Amino acid sequence: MVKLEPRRGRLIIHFFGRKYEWTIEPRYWRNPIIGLILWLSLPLLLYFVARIVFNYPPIALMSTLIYANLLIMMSAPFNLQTIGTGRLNFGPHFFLAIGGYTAALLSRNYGLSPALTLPAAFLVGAIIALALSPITIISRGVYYVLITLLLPFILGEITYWRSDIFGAETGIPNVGLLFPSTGDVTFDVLIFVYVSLVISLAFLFFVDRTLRSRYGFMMGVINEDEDVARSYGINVNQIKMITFTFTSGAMAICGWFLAHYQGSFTGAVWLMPSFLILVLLTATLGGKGAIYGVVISAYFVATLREVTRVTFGELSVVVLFLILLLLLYFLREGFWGLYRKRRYREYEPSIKVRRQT
Amino acid sequence: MLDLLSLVVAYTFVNGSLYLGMALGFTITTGVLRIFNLAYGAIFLIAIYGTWMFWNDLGFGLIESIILAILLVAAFTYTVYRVVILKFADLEDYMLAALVAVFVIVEELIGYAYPEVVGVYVPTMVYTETVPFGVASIPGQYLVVSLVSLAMLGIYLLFFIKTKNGFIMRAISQDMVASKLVGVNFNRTFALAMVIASIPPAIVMLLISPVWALNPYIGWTVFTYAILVAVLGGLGNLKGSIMAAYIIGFIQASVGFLLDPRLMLLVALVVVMAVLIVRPKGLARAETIW
Repeated sequence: MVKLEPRRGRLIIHFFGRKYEWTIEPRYWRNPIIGLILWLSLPLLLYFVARIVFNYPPIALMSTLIYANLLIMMSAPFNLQTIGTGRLNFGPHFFLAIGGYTAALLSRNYGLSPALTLPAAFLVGAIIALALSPITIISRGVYYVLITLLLPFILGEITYWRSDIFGAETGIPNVGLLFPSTGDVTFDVLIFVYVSLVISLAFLFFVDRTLRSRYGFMMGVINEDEDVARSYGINVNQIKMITFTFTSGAMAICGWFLAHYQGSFTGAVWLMPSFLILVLLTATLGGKGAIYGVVISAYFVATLREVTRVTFGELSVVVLFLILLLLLYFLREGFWGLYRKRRYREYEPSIKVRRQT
Repeated sequence: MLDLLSLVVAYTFVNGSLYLGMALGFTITTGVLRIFNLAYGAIFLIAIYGTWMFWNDLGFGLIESIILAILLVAAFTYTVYRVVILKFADLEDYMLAALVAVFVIVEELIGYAYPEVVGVYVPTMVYTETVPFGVASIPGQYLVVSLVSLAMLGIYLLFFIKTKNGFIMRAISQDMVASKLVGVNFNRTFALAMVIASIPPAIVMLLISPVWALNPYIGWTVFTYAILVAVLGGLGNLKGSIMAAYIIGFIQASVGFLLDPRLMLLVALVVVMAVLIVRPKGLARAETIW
């Protein structure tokens, strides 16, 4: 049934009549399975090292991992959206807030379970995105940046105007948690880490499959030159609208997760420009359009955010942004770019903000 | 009804002029450099808190402090130009992200040095009385800010129409390649445009600060108005910005007095969004300054 056949530099696994080959020679260790195993075991490893070896409840550590996964959940669809629409969205956190408010309101007011608020958050996010998707066709360059930058401000104003519904700065409390508590807070947080990790993985898988598909290539052509894409017979408008709708719906799922993780949702916190910058820098530092680079940069940004918070206190945001700015300055190709340099033939989507106005 | 109408007319003028003053520098930067300077909001903060620092902490006189703060603002914009804009000239997505990051850094630094409890107040009140306008009346300081904004607009228009540097900036804004061909020194002109663009928002903010509740995070709110005016007018077009400033002023005044003051910004944002969807390039021809 299962047979392992070691060969020179590789391992062949016979599994129920199917054959899998895995290069084990260290210089070829770029196998994604290794990365995946490391990534999946990291929270558990940190949890046990902190709890058993140091006898320290690792809540802050686990929260940092959740924040990193949250950045992945935002940046992966953001990257796909940027490639598929050929536009740079400066309002991804608008859709996060839409998802968060939808989940929080449905959970608190109608007692809906997270399993029901999930499709609701996705649908509301996607429907609003579909209604707004014509801007991906009408607006170009900086105008698109500006319009999307205004969206979170509009939502912020609405939440203050109808503070009776949205709670303004206090937010919406008493939102049902994602699962009933186990009685051990630290272990609950570990479960949340894995839930966020699974969502991040699902997003990465979806984005990866999409980019490798025929649609992915069409998105790449749209990103390069819309006129050329049209001359190839690609329905540019349709692809842009679909991409914008689905990726925005995915961002709304982040809001859903946050609402059910924190047990409340305060849009004012997430609609702040500083969160937008973290998402933008995560996507950029990962490497332009690099889906897996986002994982590295998200964990880097989240760790740096926590380290600066502990070390510099009130000045943490200043130090964090200064370091990220310096990285942007000196690491133009991003973390993934360092790896990509050795694979120069790989397609690299170029993201252009200003093409035509 | 006449009272309300007078108030709407008066505040359309006052708000419109104020927003014009706030957006003037942003429009110039966008028109000449064709750069969307997202760090522009930091200028408002540096002007106020810089003046406070020189006046209250370092013991300079008020006028000297204001001059030093304006010089600080100019130095800041020049540094942003040299360090961020020039560096990321060919990567506008990086540039936009970096500029917002610079804004957030300045905001947080000021928030750390002068939190709201410090109660920063710059005594730049020029006129304390109210001024009758029809059957309504408006605070005199608002009128001062409005007139100063209009005066600055006049000075800048004269600069663009009458001076050699103004001609060069207009040439760049109309056709960058052609102006390069005739030997325009881009770096010098861009730096000059950035610096002169930083002065109007600094002056407007200094004059309006005594009648506004100041806090270190006010920059985004003020910057939002500058964005609205610049975008609605057509990025970088002064004629469009003049129209847009008074349209937004009218919307704000009408909504504030006739509907609900809490909806003032929201309605302005929604109207600008709607106009942009119908006219994606704004009211006037975009990216030529005049």
